[in-house]
Amino acid sequence: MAFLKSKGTLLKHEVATVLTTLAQVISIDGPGPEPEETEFDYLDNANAAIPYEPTGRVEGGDVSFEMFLDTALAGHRTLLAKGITPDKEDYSITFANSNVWTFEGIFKGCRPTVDLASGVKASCSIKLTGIPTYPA
Amino acid sequence: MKAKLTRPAPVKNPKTGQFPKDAKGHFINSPAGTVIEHRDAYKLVQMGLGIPDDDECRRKCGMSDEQIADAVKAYERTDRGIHPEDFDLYEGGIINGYDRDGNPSLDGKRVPDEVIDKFRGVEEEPAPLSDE
Repeated sequence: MAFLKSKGTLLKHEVATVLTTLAQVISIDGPGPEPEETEFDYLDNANAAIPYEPTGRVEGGDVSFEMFLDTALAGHRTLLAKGITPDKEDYSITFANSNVWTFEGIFKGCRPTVDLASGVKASCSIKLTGIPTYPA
Repeated sequence: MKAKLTRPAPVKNPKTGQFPKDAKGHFINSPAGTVIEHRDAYKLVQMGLGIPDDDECRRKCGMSDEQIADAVKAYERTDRGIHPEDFDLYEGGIINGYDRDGNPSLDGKRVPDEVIDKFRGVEEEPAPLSDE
């Protein structure tokens, strides 16, 4: 068993067919796919519990992340442009132990926060168009 | 327009539209020097992952050689996941990444704390005074 540190984790986005590392990311939340289930109860069910069954569908969910925003940084400008020219693109998260999760998504934009007590930050999100790929 | 990668990176296969992966699902990096031909190739230069490989890309990126060199250096630092607190160690050639446990490392080998302290000029705590 090992403790996997957050430091060194990289979020990558697609630019000109190349996966490139996004600078100054502070935190990443997701992806967290959710399998869909449906209630499967019937009148002659002798058990009091309400049973559920998986439908076989999975909601990919989304990935949200926060970063220190640098409006002059080419990588951040490229990302901001994706928020007004939506398209499906590939993304990945590379953990400090080199494991990589990949997913396709639509960039949903960045929302900057300007605060006297901190640097300018941006909260951004990506809507997954499928389910993430976890390496074997 | 064309740009040439300065670092290994996953590149989409133009025929399949997919990033190539190995049997375990990990991306296969294209080597540094790979030429990317794309209408947005200049963005790779601006981000520091590429250098212009034709006049169109050089014009469109709008950067001097010095600016490109700075961008390449900054991107490499980002791509290695170097934490801002460790920029001095990276610039000083003491570390170039982290090991699997997140400890500062050079070429995959952990850099001892003493080496880092010495580089940063951190003095060792004096030995406690003896009562005798």
